[in-house]
Amino acid sequence: MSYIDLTNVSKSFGTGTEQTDVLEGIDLQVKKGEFIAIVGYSGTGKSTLISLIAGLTEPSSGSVSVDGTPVDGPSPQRGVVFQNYSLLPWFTVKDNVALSVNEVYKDAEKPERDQRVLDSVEQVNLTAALGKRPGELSGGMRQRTSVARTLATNPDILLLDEPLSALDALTRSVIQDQILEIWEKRNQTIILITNDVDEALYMADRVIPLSTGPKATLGPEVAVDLPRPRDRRALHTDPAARKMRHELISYLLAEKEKERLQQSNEPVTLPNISPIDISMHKPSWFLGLRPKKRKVLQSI
Amino acid sequence: MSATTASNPTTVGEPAPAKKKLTYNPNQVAHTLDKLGLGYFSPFARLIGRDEPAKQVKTIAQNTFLPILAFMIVLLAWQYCAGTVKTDSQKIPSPAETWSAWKDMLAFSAAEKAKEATYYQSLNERVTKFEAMASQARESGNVARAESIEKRISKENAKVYQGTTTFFDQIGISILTIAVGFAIATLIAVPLGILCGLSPLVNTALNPLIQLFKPVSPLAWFPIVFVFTTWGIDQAPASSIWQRALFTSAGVVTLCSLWPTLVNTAVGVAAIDKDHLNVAKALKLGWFKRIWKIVLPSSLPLIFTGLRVSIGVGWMVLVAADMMSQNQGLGKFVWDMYQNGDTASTAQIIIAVLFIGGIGFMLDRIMLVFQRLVTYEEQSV
Repeated sequence: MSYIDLTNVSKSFGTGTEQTDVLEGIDLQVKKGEFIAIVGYSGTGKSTLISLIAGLTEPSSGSVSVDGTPVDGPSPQRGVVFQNYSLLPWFTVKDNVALSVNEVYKDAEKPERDQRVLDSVEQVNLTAALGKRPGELSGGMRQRTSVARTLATNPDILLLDEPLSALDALTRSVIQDQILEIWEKRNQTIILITNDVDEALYMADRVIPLSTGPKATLGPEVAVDLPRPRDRRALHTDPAARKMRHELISYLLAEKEKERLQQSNEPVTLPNISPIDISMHKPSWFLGLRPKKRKVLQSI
Repeated sequence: MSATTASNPTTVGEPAPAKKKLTYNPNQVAHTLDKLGLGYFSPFARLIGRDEPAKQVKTIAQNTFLPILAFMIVLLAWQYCAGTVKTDSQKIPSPAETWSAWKDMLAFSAAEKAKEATYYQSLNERVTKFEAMASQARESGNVARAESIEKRISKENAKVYQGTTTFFDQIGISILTIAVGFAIATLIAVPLGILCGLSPLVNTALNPLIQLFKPVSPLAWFPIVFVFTTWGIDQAPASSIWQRALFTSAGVVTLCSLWPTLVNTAVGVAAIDKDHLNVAKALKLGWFKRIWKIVLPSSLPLIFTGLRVSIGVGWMVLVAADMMSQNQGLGKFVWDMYQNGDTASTAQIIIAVLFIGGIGFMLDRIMLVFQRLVTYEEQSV
């Protein structure tokens, strides 16, 4: 049995006619200490998948278990880094991190708890910003604070929900390296959600694409057996890496195409109009119709 | 030990921040003034810092002379009315007459204070004389006489001056009354609003009641509150601070001013960012911590918006409530002046109106400052 185990997991929101099926038939096994990346388009249910593993939502059917025990509710053992940082704007960096430390290490002495806060802030190089509020920080600093908050409780599993997608490319690569460094030091199990294939290939042991929704499911996985530490530039020239990228991108493009076709097969109602006979009288204007959006119906 | 020093903020990362040199930053001072509701003075602050002087002078001139101009127009209209609006028994006093009425009020109040001082002075003199007599009697061994004199002393000491309540005393009582009414309203509305915001069930249960009671006029509440406070006076021990008139007014203020706070708190709590709640969920924060660290801070700006509306409503209601309950506040002052039919009365009422407006404005400013202080910078980029 694997460390993290999702068996035939489905999730839908709403009931009755308003029901939307987000995920269906998800099977995922992750070994302890493994770094998994899941890539997919936005809005396909990636965040829902993270919420399921984190225990923030329950699956509609199927089972999620970690280390042999079924997941029922969140736990500090599984730390989540949210997409939009989710820092509390009325707290300083220190207080934001302290919030999680004080909750998880309730019984520890105050100096010990303070030390944990300082250590984890230092780990993301934010010591200089300890007393600042999120409003005074750049996007990258906010995300690092969010990472520090999650790391401070020393979780066994890190669930990263598109942590870098709102950042610029340079900041992104810096934080990627920081995350990798932390992972190598602490040897946690990491599940990274991303929409960036290159990021996934650079960081993960295995990359699994997610099909487009509704009823999204996991596609064929790609094992990234490239030696570490990896070189960003080499990823673009290395034949093995190029092949992996090609595989992933073709899958994702095919998914997009499938979605497009699915939409275009739905019948389009055209407006019911008849042309005006202008031969009877000759007005100084005439009304014409020019279709701007056309869709070709697939013949097969 | 090494770990402690390594993570010390002054030794790691960027070099220790040098002691900030105190320099005058006109922009910052202006922003602080704006935040404190003293926006009028922020161009002055910029002017001192030589930040676009020409523009600041123009702003100051506009902000000063336009209101003065409007004020002059109102004064002229008032002067005109004073000459025209007359009945057999009453007339609108002119600004000059109002001014002299104001000086009379000041003189009256000063005289009243002087009378009070004289009263207490002679009382003190009497007491000292009695005390000397008592100790003399005790020394000569006449215990019975000494005791009777001491009884006399304690009786004298318990005496309180029974003079007329002056206009300024009445202002004080009005402020006390609204403080009591507003405090009770806040203590009821904020917790109830949080409950409504957190639980859709509580909200469903309370919403019809809130909608039903919200538009009720203070004058309609008055008789009901009066029954309660009259009953309360029977229950309370005689020596307690319970004053029926004051608490009736305060009760009416409470009933009318709690709604804006209640509704705003409920909206603020219900509109809390889902991401923040997710953090609470992921960290498994307890109920109390969730409220204290996440729900309350995030809804504080809206709560204070509600409180600001509430205190405005409360102050307006207070004058009417004071008239009916005969609480010694500004409302009673207006009522008494209206009833006594003296020629100077209307002038005094005009002064009261100006004071009511001024104090209401000040209360609003105070709440505005609080409101701005609790509004944090938004997190989104």
